[in-house]
Amino acid sequence: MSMFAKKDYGSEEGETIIGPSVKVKGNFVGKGNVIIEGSVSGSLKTTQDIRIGKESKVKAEIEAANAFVAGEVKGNLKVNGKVELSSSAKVSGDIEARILSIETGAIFNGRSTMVGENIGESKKEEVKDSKK
Amino acid sequence: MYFYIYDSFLNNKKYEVVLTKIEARLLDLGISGRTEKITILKNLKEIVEEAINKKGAKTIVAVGNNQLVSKIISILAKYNNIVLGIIPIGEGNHIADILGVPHEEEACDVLSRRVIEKVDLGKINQQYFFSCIEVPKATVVMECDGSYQVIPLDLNHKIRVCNISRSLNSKDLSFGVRSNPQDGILEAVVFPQSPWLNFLRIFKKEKEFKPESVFPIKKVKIKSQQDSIPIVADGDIVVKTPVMVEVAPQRLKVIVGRNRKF
Repeated sequence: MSMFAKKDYGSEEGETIIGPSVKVKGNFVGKGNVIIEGSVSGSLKTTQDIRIGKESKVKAEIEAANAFVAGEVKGNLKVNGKVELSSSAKVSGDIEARILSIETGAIFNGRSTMVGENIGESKKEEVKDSKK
Repeated sequence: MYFYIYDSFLNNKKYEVVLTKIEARLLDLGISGRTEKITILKNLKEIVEEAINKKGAKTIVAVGNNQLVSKIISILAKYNNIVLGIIPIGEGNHIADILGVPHEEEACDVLSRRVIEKVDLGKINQQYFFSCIEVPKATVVMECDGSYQVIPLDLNHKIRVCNISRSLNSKDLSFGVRSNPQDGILEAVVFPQSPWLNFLRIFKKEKEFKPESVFPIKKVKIKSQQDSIPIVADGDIVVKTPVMVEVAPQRLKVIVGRNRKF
């Protein structure tokens, strides 16, 4: 099922939905999932997931647990878990995440930093093991 | 002690039979108390304050419909330990429906069981509301929690700030009671108002429609972008913009029924 399949809006308590007919400006801080189908500028922070729809335009610094992007983002994404860019995503900004998934067709202009695994150290351990 | 306040529309003879049944049931249950009818000689605020301060009432029971209940809620919000009960009669009782209080005589049994819940109220300027407030046209800007602004782009949309229900009347209960009246949060909801929807309403074939935007908030300042516009609270009280709307957590004690919607 597509991660952007139509869901029952307002089905979860504490969920924020920014629809196509509103514009949000400023520093948004939330505790629940945030679903964006409209336009946002400023900053977006939540302890849960952010889903950015195909038609949405976000010009903001984003912090979340996970992020699923199908629209346009100008700004940095800092995520504890996974960032997923669908084929219609256009991201201009840096991404910091544990897992990064980019579908064919997505446009990403920025730096990516994978957090969590220290790749240098794990290679040293592999060499030690092979010597044993 | 129970204090029963009867709405003025109950003076109509067609309510005689139902009122007699209610009074008999209250007597059987041992919860009949003092009563007062609303007249032009005494206003509701005076009646409630006298009942609490001079007659020692601990439970105020609204006998009537939403209009009376909303007004009593607004007065009781200023007191800490007074409990609200409802005996819904007639049309327009969605507050009672949400609280799980059945209509007329059956409500007496709910009163007698006395299951009390503390619920949040909303506050719009200095007035309290229970269910929601409605902004008829989205020609406003909402400043939410002092940190971000919501600007509707379609001026034909409507806005509601909800405490317990996203609807102003019981026919819209299918709209969904998503807001939890005990979580210390309000929901600002933006939804379309299309001519097609109004057409469906005429033929009572209104289907459930969903809000387009939902913002959980504790406080919102609503300012009009043009002239000051009237905002309706609980389908009755009218306040003009600019307004400050905020949640008053656990502000009201109310007697609830088994079938409450939260």
